[in-house]
Amino acid sequence: MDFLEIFTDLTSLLSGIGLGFGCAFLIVTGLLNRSNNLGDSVSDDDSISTGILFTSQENRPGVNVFNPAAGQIYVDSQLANIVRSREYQEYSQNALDTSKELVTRHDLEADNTSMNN
Amino acid sequence: MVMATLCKNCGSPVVFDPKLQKVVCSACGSAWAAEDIQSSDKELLEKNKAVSYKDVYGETTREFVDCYIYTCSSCGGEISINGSEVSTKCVYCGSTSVVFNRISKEKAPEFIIPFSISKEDAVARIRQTFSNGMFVPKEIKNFNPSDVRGIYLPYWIVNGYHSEAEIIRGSRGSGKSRHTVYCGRAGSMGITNLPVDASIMLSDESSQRLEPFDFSKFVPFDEDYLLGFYSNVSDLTNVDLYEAVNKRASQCFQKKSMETFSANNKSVTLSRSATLIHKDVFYAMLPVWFVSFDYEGKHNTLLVNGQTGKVVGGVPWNKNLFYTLTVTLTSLFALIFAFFIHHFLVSPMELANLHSRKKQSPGSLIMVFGMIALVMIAIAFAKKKKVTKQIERSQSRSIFNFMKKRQG
Repeated sequence: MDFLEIFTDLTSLLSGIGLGFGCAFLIVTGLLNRSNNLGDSVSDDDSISTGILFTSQENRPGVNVFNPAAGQIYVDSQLANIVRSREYQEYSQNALDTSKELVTRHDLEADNTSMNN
Repeated sequence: MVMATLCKNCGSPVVFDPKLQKVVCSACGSAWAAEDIQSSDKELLEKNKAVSYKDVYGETTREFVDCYIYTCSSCGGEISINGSEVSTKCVYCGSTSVVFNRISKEKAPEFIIPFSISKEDAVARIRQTFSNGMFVPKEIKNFNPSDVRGIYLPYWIVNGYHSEAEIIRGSRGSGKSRHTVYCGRAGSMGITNLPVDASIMLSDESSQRLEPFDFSKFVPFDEDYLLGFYSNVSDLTNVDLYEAVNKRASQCFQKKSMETFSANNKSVTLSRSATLIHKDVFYAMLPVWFVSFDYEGKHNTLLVNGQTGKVVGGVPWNKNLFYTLTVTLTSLFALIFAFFIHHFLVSPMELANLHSRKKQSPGSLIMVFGMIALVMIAIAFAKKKKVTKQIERSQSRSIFNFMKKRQG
C-alpha cells in the first residue's frame, strides 16, 4: 500500500465522518425539536397584517462596504417621507394616545464587521 | 366587593363547565347559561373592602407588598389576592371569588373566549403529545401534574399602522467570490387583530406561541365565565402596549421585506419605525391552562390554549437516547459516505490523474465536504439551542410563580 493509496483512503474516511456527523446531528436535533419543543409556532404573519406597501426599494448589489452615515440618512429620510404622507396623517387622527416615539434599532456589531470588509 | 355566585336552588358555589358551556352547581347539578344569571343575585353577596396585606400583617416581604386581603362571601375565610388578579379560589371552601369592583374599576373586558377545553382534556392533550415525543423521558410520559390551573389571560386586540425604513444586509456567491450586499426598504402596512398579552408577569414569547385563537368565538364579557377559574386584569400601560405592538409589527415587517431581497444570511442592520395604534383597541380575556409537574427537582410548566388545546412549552429530554442515536447514525452515515466518496469520487480522480497532466487533488474534496458538514452542524446547533431555550422558559421561576402564587 503506497502513500497515495493511504492518503485517498484517509480523505474518504475523514470526509465520510464529517458528513456523517453533520447529517446525523441535523436529523437527531430535528427529531428533538419536533419531540420536545411543543407549540413552536405563532400566528401567521398574514393573519395579523396587510401586505406591505413599499415606498422605496433600493437595491445596491455589489456594494460591499456599508456606510453607516448614508444608511442613517436613508432610513431617516424615508421614514420622514412616510410620516408626512396623507395616509399616515389621516390614520394618526384616530390613533391611541401613546408616546408615539420613533424606534431606532441599530446593529452596531454588524456595522463594525461590515466596515472591516 | 367580592362576588361568589351561589346556586339559586341549593346555595352551593357554582362554576363554569367548559364541556357544557354553562355555569353548573356541583352539588345539585343545576345549570344555567352565564348570561342568564341575574345581576341581582350577585348584589346579594357580602360587600367587603380590600385591606392591604401590610395593614393586616404589619411589615411584610417584597412578594406580598402588592397583596390584598378579602373575606370569602361563602365561608368567611381569608382570601389573599395580588394587584392584578380578578378571580381566585378560596383556600378553605373552594368557592370561586371574583373581585367585582376590580372589573368595574379597571376597564372591564369587552369580550371573552370561554374555556372549551376542560382540565381533564388539557392534561390528556399533554399526555398525548408526550406519548408521541421520541425524546421525552419515561418518567415524564407518566407524569402526575403537581398543579393544574385555568387562568383567563388579559389581551389587547389591536389594529394599527406600522411604518418602517431599514437597511438589510446579506451575502451572495460562495467561497472567494462571496461578497456582502445591502439594500434599503421602506414602507407601511396595516396591523389587523393583533393579540397583545396584557400581563407583564407572563413572557411575550410564551403567550405568542399560544396563538392562534379563534376570535369568531368571542362572546360579550360576563363575570360568570370566570367562575371556577383564575383571572387577571391588564397591568400594561399605553407605552408598554405601544412597545409590544411596535416590536411584533417590526418583526413581521422585517420578515416580509427580507423576502423581497435575494441574498443569503440576511439580517436587518439598521431600522427606524413608527407605529400608530387605532384608538378602538379592545380588551378581551383568553383562556389558558397552566399545568406544572416536577422532574429531577425542577418545576416545569406547560401551557395549553383553553380554546384550541394547543400545547406550548419545552420538555426535558432523554440525553442518553439523544447521544446514543447521534453516535449510531454518525457511524452508519460515515461508512456510507466514505464508501461513496472513495469509489465514486476519489478513485476516479486518481485514475484520471494517471492519464492526465493536470493533477486534481483530493484535498479540495475534503474542503467542500468539510464546508457542507460545518453548515449542517451549525443548523443543528441552532435547533438544539432553540429547544434548550424553550425548556429554560418552561422551568423559569417567573412562569411558575405566575401560576403558583394564587390561592386554592
